[in-house]
Amino acid sequence: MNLLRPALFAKTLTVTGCAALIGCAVAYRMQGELAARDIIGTTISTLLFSYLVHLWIALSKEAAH
Amino acid sequence: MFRFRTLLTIALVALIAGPAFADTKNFRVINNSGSQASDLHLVIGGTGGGLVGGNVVVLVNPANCATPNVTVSGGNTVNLDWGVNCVDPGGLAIVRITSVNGNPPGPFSLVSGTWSYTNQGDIAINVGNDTASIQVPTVSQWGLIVMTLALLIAATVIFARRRPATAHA
Repeated sequence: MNLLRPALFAKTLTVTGCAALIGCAVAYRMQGELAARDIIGTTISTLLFSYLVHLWIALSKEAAH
Repeated sequence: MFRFRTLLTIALVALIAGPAFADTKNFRVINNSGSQASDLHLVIGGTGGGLVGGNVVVLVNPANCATPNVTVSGGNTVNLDWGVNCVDPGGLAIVRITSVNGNPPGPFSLVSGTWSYTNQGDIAINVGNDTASIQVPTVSQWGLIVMTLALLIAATVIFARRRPATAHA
């Protein structure tokens, strides 16, 4: 099993990053501020989540073949 | 797709399930009254009048003192009774107040307290100088989220590397 498919990871990272940005924008709109720990936490979680989704998609594609 | 949906459901449940409303606080009280004390009475805030004996644990007993008789009165006052004047000046006790099954929910705080003696009147403790709330180290919410994701990645990789068993002719 290939643990990293750069093209697929870039796609999932883009989608997840957009979702995270929208979430940050909504949170900023509601709270009026964004704490540094939330920005750091969102960045790390976005990377991990996009990698996880990339793994799931890669697995489902391998299983289909 | 079944595997994807199952993992997604587990991830969502783990991320959305919030912490239960509960609290645990450790209160460290030093006998700065200048006399040997026999009892300690602590008024705890955030109990909603629902504090019971099961919520109280004496983590550190003062030196030279036997195990105290622990009672709760009025739903918010913890009474530690050692029976004799054994808590030396400078001696300390650490009392843990913890929610049991979410009751009382807290957050707990130390409102006031008094030292009692067998041979003199009570002396109030100075909450600012004689006490301290000892924080229990915990993982932050972001830490929990990151740990959950890391665990899911590890589980996905481990299960993906398993090869299906094949029958040999």
